[in-house]
Amino acid sequence: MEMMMIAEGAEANVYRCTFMNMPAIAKRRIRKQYRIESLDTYLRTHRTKIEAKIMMALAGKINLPRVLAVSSDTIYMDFIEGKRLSIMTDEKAIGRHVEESGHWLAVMHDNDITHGDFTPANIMANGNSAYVIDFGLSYFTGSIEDKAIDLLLMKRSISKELFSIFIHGYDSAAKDSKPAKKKLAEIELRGRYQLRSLATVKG
Amino acid sequence: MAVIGIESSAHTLGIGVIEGGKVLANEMLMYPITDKGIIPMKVADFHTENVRKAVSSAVKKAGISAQDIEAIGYTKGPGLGPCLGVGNLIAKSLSMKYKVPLLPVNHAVAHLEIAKHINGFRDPLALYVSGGNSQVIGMEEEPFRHYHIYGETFDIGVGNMFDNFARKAKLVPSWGSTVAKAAESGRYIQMPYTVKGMDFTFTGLLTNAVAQLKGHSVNDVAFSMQETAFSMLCEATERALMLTEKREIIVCGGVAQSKRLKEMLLSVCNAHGTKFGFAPNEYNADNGAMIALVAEKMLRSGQHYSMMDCGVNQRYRIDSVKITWK
Repeated sequence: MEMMMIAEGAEANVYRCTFMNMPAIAKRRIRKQYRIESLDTYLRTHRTKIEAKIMMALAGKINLPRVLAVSSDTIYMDFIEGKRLSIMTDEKAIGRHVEESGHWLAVMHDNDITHGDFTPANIMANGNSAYVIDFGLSYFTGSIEDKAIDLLLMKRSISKELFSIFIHGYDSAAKDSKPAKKKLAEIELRGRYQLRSLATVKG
Repeated sequence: MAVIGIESSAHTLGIGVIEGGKVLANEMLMYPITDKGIIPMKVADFHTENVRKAVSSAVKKAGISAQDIEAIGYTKGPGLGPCLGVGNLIAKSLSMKYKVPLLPVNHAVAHLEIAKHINGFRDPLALYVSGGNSQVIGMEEEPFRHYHIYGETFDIGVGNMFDNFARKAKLVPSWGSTVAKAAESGRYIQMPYTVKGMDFTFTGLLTNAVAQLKGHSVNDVAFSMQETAFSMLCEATERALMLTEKREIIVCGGVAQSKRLKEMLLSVCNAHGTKFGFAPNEYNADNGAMIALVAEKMLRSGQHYSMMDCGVNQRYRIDSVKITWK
């Protein structure tokens, strides 16, 4: 299979490829020389397995790439045409997609799944729809704290105005958004977060 | 013209003398740590008893006289309140005695700046790891020039985890380097590995490691805990490196004395063609030279403080500090 690298991540490389003659994406977790082999092998296989399992559990519930095949270190999935929210400039469109992404996060949380890296870089705008991508740090958890941290990551990545739009989307889809929002306020009061600056960084 | 720096944020009392970025003296005295860890009031007493001696010894080593003293810098925070208070008081009295400006320095900025200075780096990504802190930091220009925290510990500093483990495992002396020594001959046991984006937590790992002491050798547990913690820090650092596209990495703070951590970070750097640097151990331990270095930079870039502005702040966050130099 011919593979062309399109993104080099901290953890995995992402390649364009074809799967049964369809345009596809392969996400491969690469060996990290800095960590000992047993820990490295464990992290790569375990994370690949969990990521695929989560993506399959969310299929049909939210917009995300469909899983086509899985190996010990690679997930093959649908290729989603579009732009990451982090590099978009049309404010109106960003607002719309941010609201939809809030909706998708609420569905994930109601299924006891957290994303783990829920930022505009991991929301893909495809036409009028927002797709959630990169479930590399997702896991199954009922913990309110973990859900609140998803909200915190998004809050730190976007403006106040956009975050209130995002929360509107989250509220409208969540069974009960109060506990996570209450926990978010609590985490922010823990001191370490009070003064954390909000510099705009690329990505 | 020389600047004196006074560091007293935790167990180490440090007096440094800097002239034009050159270290003339760097005197250090450390409170003797027992199995009870650090008791802030007792450390403050220790600093009070020793500070006069340490200042005169540093001044003598630097070969400067009263008229050479241009300014006094001291650690404003973060740190332990009573300990910071001692340094603050001495700095104030020296500033009045010699009629020179007083400059409040952020401890984390100082660790980062001295490593940057020694390596001649311009815009590094920094992994700052100590007992109280573990943060991935880099310069950002917006909304003002400051050191932004890309990721940090959600609970305790990685050094605190090592110290705590050492006490529970009855390793003597109870600190990180003893754990590192025990880790030299260990084998890997699986432990909780928690990275969330560029943030991380250590208490779960600590609890697990202490529990694993029943049934495994202390060497295996120390090795696995250290490998897990350092791998987490490397992963967060690597992720920040990809995000910021910075071309240099430094490691600083007490835990930067670890050979294994430096070896792992070098491997991260090699994978991305990134420059890697760190300071000699005497500057990773708490020290006065780094405080003097930053005080001199503050002075040269036109910062000025009245006595009223020179207090202490136990939770003085690095990202709240306006950086006025390049």
